[in-house]
Amino acid sequence: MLEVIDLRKNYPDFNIQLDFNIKQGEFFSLLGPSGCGKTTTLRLLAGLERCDSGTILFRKKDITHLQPQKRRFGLVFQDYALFPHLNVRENILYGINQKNKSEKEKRLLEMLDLFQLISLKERSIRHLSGGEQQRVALARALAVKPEILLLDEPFAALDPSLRQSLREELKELQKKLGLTIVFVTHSQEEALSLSDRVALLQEGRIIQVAEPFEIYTKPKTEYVAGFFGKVNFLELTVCKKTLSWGNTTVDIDLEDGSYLLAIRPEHLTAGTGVKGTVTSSSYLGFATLYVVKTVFGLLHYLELDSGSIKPKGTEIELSLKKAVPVRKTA
Amino acid sequence: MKRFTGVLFLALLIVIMLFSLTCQAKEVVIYSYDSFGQTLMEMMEKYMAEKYQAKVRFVLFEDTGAMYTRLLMEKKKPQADVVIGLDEVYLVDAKRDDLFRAYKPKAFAQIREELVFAKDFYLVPFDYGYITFNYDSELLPKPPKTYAELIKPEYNKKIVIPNPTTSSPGQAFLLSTIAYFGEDKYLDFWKELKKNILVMPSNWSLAYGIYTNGEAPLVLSYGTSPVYHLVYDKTERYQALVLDQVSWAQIEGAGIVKGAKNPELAEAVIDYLLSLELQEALTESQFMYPVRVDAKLPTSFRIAAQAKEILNRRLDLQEIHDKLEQWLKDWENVMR
Amino acid sequence: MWQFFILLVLVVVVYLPLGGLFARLLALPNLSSLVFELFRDPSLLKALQFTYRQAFISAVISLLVGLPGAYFFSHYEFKGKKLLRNLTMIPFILPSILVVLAMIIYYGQQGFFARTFNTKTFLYSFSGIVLAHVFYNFSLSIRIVGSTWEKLNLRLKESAYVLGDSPLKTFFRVELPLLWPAIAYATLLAFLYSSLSFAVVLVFGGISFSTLEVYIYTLVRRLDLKKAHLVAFIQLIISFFFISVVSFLAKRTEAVDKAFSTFQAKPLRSEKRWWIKSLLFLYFAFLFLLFGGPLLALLVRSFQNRDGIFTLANYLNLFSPKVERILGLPIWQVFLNSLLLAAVSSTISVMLAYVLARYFPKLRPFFLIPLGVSMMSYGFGVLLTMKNWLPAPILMVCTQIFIAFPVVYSIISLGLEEINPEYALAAALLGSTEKEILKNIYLPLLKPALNSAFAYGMALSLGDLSGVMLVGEGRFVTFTVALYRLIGHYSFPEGTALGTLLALLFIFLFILIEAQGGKNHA
Repeated sequence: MLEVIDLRKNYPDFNIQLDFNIKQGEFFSLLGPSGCGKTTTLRLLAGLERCDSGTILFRKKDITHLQPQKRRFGLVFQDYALFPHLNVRENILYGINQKNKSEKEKRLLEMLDLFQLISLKERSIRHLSGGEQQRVALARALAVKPEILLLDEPFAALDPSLRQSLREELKELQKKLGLTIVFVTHSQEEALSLSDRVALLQEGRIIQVAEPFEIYTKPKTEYVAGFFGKVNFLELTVCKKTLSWGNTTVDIDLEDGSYLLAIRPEHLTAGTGVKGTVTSSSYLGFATLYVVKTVFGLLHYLELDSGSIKPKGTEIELSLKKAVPVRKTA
Repeated sequence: MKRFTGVLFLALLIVIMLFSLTCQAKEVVIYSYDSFGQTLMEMMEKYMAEKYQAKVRFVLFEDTGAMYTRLLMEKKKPQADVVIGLDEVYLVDAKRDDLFRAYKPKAFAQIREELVFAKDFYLVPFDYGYITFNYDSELLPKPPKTYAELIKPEYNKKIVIPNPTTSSPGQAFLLSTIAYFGEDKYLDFWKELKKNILVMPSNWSLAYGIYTNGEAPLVLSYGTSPVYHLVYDKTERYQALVLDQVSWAQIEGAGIVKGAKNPELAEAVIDYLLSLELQEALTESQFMYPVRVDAKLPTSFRIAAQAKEILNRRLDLQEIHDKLEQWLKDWENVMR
Repeated sequence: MWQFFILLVLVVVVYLPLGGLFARLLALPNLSSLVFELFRDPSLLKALQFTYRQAFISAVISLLVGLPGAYFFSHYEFKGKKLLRNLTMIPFILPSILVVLAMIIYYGQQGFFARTFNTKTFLYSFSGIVLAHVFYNFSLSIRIVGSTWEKLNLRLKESAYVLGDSPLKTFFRVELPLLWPAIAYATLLAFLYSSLSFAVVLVFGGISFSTLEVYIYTLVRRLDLKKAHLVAFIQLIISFFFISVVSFLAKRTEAVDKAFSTFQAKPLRSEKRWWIKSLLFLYFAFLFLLFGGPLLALLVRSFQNRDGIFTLANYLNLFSPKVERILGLPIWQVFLNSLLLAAVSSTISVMLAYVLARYFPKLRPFFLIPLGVSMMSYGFGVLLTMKNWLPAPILMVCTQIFIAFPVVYSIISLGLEEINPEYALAAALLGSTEKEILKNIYLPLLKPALNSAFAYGMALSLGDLSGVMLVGEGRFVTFTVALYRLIGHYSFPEGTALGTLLALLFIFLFILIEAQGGKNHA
């Protein structure tokens, strides 16, 4: 539905260059650390920034130079940017240009109903909680029936306990209305749990676009792997589809050669293989994360359902369940 | 914040010190307007200090109107001893308001007689100047010589006159037209003059500024104005003219405030004001004529315009006082 | 408690003299007949009508002229911006006699403008009055509206764009409602200043146009003080009516501070739309042609002798014995006096305004009252109530506060409204003391407003004659006193040089102060 082809925007110390496409009804996340260009990308999609070159196609139509007013995209900013001089009702009605009063009223009621805002209808923006403001912002953006909804870190300003429930609401809403959503976030957790596909950005480029499961389990580069939680990176040699792992060998489906392998802490288990000693531990509740000193250096190892916490200095032997080759990032 | 407040207090202190330096004990207080010459003030200070061991404190006002209203407000508790610079038109008001004490100065016999506007010396004249037109000879080679010529179309939008309702010279000129044409004819003159007037600013300063900046070649000012340009700019470009050889004279008076704390010193000030020394000094300080017949004029005064007749005496001061408001109203109606 | 003490200070400075003046007036036994007599005078009614008509037109045009400037100043960063912003304030600093003269030199029948565009004597008419008032007041809307606009959250505008509104529609639906209070107050100030105009109206309007101020002055000249004060009182009531209406209409909704954050103006060179750049260029060319011209003419004149030949003599003369003779003191002392008085009184005004705006927001209309009467009437009040028991330096500062306070207050109180009170609340919860909150939150956020307020305070005080003369009695010579004295002694060329020096000094000073502010931000 939306195709972004070689879109470029240059800044004195920073360049953006993008290629990606979004399907109808998809929940698409732009993930990356602050300063990677994800918000700028969103603004380019909304038409609030002008690109230097490249094309944006929407339903095969070139909208690269179309004004934001004519794109009919919905946009929710991180701070919501609700109009403070208007109340809830007026905010929601803002974008509706319909002359027909009853149509307008109908749409308003739909939105109020959808976001459970009926009782807040006449309330001033000042007297809304963070979660309520977010709902009003969504309602305002959706009231005009946008083709695509662009969300810029909509949960960033909320407290963690609220985030969880609103996240679920958003996902449900998307399913219910069949929305196409472009979602900008710096939280890998949000991206993984909500998205149909995730695009990971680094310094203005997309490094990998994939479904959450794939991007987590098959990261293309060292950077991608490292972005989603703790990873052990080891440079190892594969010989005849096997990998030498301490006292044992592990089968691996790779051609012969030297690889940089990403090994997640949970893919190490107690068993036979590499010996080491525990140098520190942190208890996470559902699991314990250890740092183990081995011949490969320090390795992170996650133990689920452990009966007790191993004290520092405990001897331990780790076997390898899974390793993913990644491209080295300069 | 603290440093800020500190700086502030220091600054306040300096201001206070600057003030306290200038205010001290036993002194004669003289009220005057702001353009009263610094030279004359210093001469008076010196004289009073040497002769009477008295200090002189000058209090200067924005204009004579402000000075007069201050006197009125302080009537119950007078602060001033002497007032310098009220022109004769204030005489009737001053008598009604009972502000001054008459004092016949020692040099009364030397004062040019027609200038003595209060025969009882309720206010004592000390200088005067003819209210006449000045012209810029470079912009206007052919100046008018008579009232009749002044209203000719060739002077269309070439005249600046300070507004008679707000300025003393302007009011003096209005009075001179009443004196010259008579109460029933002066408005006819103004009806014609109106076309030639470019602008009537609120005060003389602005009018004269407009003139010297070349916007208009004719301005109502003083007969002595060209003297300044001769002395300081060394030019005779600016000239004065007396229409039909007659002119109104602005006569400035001085008076001793009734209930003054230092009446003897006040009398000494008035006498010094009329001394030959000061009378001769005021010519190139105030650019006004001295009232003493025996005072010598500096050579620069050759360029000053002098009238054969002073129009003032054609009107009675009481009459002016009673009718001025109506005259101004009638005049305004014509000029609108 | 101390807040009430500050309030008391203002009451003594402003309301005691005015109250004293008008209380005496209201106690007159023949008050009703006096009022009756006044209102039977058709010229008073005419003056009333004309005063507020011209003030309204002047204020609206000032706003329209200043609004694009407010936009450009708040949205773009470009070279010479600070210089330009301070240049627009020069009419406020220069005494009216110089401003009027500058306009005549430029627009008058012999002026460059009139000769180039063949406009003849349009200056000496109603349009001349309005032009002069716009010249004075357009900087108010540039500065007051600009500093609000500068802080307006950019994303509000962008939200409106995305929701389908054109920039123009967005301006009317989003920006205008949020800028409205600033616009209303800038216009109110321009309106009230224009309504107190005196010299401008007489010069350009002649007899055909008379304002209340002229009417009062004429009454004072005729020594009809009671009537003069009565008209001043009527003037005050009318002004207060307008002030109240505006503060009612411009009441901000309580959530409005959410609309403001500190968004930085972007460099002009990164603006890609060529037409914006050309509009900006055209606008400043227009300002330069209309208002830069008179100032430039004055500058040129200060370097000419009477025959139009280039000379430095006017400047050198300022330091000559001749000028010292006229002024009674050396010129450097004049500058010292002026700057000291202006800086001290402007600082006090800013501090008073900050406290009063923060702790007594509801009293706003009352704080603007000094705009309703001229220095002349206030001066009478001072003579009646305070002259005898307050030392001269304090009285002097009082008169300057009277002049400076309303503008200083307006700027600061608008600035305060744009600060989210939650910042202060959060800081208080974190255990910050009042002093820390002031230092860490209000001062940095208010910096632009404080700068503007201080600049206007200084400018207004530097341009004052009546207040200084009233208390200083001719011995405390400030720049304006010196200027009038020079002009009174035929020294007009030296006067223009003095005016130019002061304007340059002022601009230099404020570019320095603003640069300081910038550093503190970072």
